[in-house]
Amino acid sequence: MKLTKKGQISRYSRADRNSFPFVYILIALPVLQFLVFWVYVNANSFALAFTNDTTHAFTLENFQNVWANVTSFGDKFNIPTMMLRSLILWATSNILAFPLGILSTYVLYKRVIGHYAFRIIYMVPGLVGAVVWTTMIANICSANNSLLFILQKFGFDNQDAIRMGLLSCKETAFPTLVIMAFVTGCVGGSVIATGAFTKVPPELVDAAKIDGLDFWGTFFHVSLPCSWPTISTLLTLSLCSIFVADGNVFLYTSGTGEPAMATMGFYLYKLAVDISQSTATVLPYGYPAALGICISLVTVPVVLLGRALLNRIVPTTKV
Amino acid sequence: MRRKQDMMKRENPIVRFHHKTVSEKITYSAYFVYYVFMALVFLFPVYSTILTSMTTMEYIITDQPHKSFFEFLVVNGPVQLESWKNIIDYFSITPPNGVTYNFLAMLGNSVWFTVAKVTLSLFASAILAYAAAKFNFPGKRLIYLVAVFVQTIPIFGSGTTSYKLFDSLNMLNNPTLFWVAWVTGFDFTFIIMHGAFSGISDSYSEAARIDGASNWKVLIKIIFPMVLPILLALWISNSVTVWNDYTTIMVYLNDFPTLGYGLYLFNNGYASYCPNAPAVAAAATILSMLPIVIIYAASQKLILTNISVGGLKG
Repeated sequence: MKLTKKGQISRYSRADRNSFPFVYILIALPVLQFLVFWVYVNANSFALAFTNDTTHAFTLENFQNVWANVTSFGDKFNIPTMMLRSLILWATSNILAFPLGILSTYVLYKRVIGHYAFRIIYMVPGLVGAVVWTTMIANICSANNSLLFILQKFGFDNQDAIRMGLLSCKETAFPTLVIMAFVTGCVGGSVIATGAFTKVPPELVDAAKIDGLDFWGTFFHVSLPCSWPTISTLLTLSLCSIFVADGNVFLYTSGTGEPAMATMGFYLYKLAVDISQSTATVLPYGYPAALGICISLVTVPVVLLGRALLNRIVPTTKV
Repeated sequence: MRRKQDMMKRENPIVRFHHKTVSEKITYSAYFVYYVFMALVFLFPVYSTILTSMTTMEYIITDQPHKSFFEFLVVNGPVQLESWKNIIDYFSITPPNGVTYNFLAMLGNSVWFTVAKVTLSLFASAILAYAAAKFNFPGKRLIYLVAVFVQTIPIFGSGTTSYKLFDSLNMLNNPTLFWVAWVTGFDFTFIIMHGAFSGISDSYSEAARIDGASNWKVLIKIIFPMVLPILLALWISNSVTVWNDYTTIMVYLNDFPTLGYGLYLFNNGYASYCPNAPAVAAAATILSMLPIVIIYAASQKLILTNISVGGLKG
């Protein structure tokens, strides 16, 4: 036992102290990388939000520009409108579709007929990636293509959409994105949720069956509480995108956000792409930085509140 | 891993349908119908894309609009396979930098980009998680808290600042320097690996140390083989995401177009000579998704039985 200079018992044993060099060599590179590419970048971003891009003097004009964009209702890139669209996409995917996905993942885990093939098919939107998936969706949603043809058979009669395609018509573009968010949300988190279900001790499931619980009783009283730390973690992580869900708008619209589809996630990415493709000598770093701070200030309380709620909804069972 | 799979089967034996209870029969039947419907929803775009890859330009422009519903389900015009046979040359792009990239060049970029990014970030997360989970040292708790903070507290707007930093460090379009950006230890993988290392009993490493093994030897000979299935599962799972990542390439490494970014450019006016762009884009779409779908399908059990995450503390 070793005492500190103040006479207290040291928290670290001799073996711990002997391992310090090894540990610090292990963590040196990731920690250094984090300090430069996360801490410095975010600190710099904070500073740039208060800096004039041309004169480099202190200014609040970046925040004034953000506010002007907040109040410019009807503008293509109006911030509240884009945040609302992101919120709708997020809610569709995480509140409407995610619970359905968890239920269907559970039934798949219980080995419904064809479960192996279904698991792979279910992963198609996630496996093929955003570019491929949006290319395929844009293909079937385009004018004169199969989906519109089917919809017309069911009475769909929007002539603009029929002529231009679902994603090019102002009235149908965003609803199409919402439907896509629902479809892809139905398979969100299925891999990790399956992993969580496999960790539920079989003895607990057997005991529940002996006690007379049926299929869904076992799910709601055993499997869900045991898996809740995993599921609540997935939901907590998804909360971070509550106001910046992008819906692959950049890919669907070739970076324009037209027609009436721009989301906050799209806009933030577009600002970065615009800067990367600009040939100007003075680049507008201040406005995106100020916008990022404003969105973070709105999002962080929502995330913390959501996380607290998630921890109260279902009593967690540690296994 | 075999033990885990056996456990999964023991826990979930395939109970024959007629042995199930009535409520289970109803549930399974309803969900079977649901799965078939969802499978059709997911496979329809793939099927439609395959059809497009085999149609002629004239058919797409003139005949297709007048077909009946059932005629949409097959290619009833003249079938062409030119877009498949000549995919290497036809699927070529010439982005603003003026260089022409064909299918093979983009495939090569996809491969090295995926291997480098996934391997480096997994390596960084794993060693950081190992240190935080298995050793007692000043900063141990801080590392875990920072990882949870970074994952759960959203901070936006740093994309442009990152670009500025990469530009000032001469890292843009420079893979020999850009790899440093991928050594990101504080990510979601850290949380999974931290849980995995925490679940390994200390008795293994203590026994090895009593036998005279150094910390390096314990890591390489004892711990690494124990977490190898989890690392492999994470490598495959993360590679799906990275293979499809177009955002990093578009902003920071646009001189090295991958298949995903190449497809975006091809669809947005940067195609080189191509007689039937919709069919070629469709064929390239199918080809670019094939490697990752095959790898995932082959390693599904490995992924499902090894990737799990617990709750977030702190």
